[in-house]
Amino acid sequence: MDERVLDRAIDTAAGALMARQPSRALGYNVMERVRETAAPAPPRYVWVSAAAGLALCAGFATLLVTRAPSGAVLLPQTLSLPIAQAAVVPEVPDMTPAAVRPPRRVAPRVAGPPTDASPIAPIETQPILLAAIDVPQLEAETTWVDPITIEPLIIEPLGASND
Amino acid sequence: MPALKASIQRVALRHLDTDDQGLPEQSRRMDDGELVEQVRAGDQAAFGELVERHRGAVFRAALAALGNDADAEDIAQEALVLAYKRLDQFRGEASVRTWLVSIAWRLALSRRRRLWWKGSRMVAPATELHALRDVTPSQEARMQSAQFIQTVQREIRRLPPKLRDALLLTAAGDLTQDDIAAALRVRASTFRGRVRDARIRLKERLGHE
Repeated sequence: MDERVLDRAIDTAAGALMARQPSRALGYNVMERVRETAAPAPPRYVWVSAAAGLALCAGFATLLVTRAPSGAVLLPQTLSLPIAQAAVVPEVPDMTPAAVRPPRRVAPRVAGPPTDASPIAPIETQPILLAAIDVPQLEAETTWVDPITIEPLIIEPLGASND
Repeated sequence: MPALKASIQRVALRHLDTDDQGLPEQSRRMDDGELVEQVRAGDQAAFGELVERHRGAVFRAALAALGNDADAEDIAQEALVLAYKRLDQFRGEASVRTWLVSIAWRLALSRRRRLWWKGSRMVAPATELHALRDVTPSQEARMQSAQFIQTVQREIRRLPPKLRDALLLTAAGDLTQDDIAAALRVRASTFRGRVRDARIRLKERLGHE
């Protein structure tokens, strides 16, 4: 076969395999996902958002510190009565100082100094007398050792030996 | 062709001159580098323009690796979103299109390996061949017939993956061979050798048909 013709056939076949176009949805889908992706914020926006967050935190802290106590005293509600009758106010418990219990006394844990002042009888003491101490004397004993007599060593000649 | 290029350059330079004279900036078509800078400054619409320009090339690179439209479109979408997230890593050493194609190519190869392990095979796209149907008695016409083209496509699919990838990416025509080599991270001479080997193998097989 002619080589040039084969080359053209290969080009045509390969070109036909690659002669495809992406769908229109490709670009749309990509941009949709790009919008979902948070774009990197420029540095000035980072600083602005950080300052705003800091101010918000400071505001909350100030609010928490200066806030009034939440335990409000609930007064008994009055009854709605007709105008002709006198209103009956329910009794409010008497909270005069007399009704308040005295403060509890706590005994001191450390004992104070004794208050007893009775006289103390004098103590009689005996004088200490010096006396000579009799020490028995030891008797000296002499011991004798018998003198040792050393006999002269006689060396036998070698031939007289039994070996 | 060189004359056309020269005229394009002249037009561009004249356009720059008009910008200096205070004419509206919007009339100038921004290049990819300027769009990248705008995206980095937070302009998402600029990224939309980049997507419009290069989505076809990204899709076809994935198609060359995977062989079916659905997987290729899925990978193209992943690649473009990933490119947006990692735009700060684009250093401008290659063109934006080459960079995008390289991202899509790596994702597509990963998907192809996973599909291979699952046991699926490369599916041929349902190529519209009715335009090629021209049955005439001459040999050249027979080679351009739909039946013969389908035979060639079948042989292309039977090529080793590296040779097939090189042939199909070249046929897509979105990048030069040097740019494709850069996207695939192989030497340009290696890539050209693969295209040449693919052609030689195909001719050997088709010669026996």
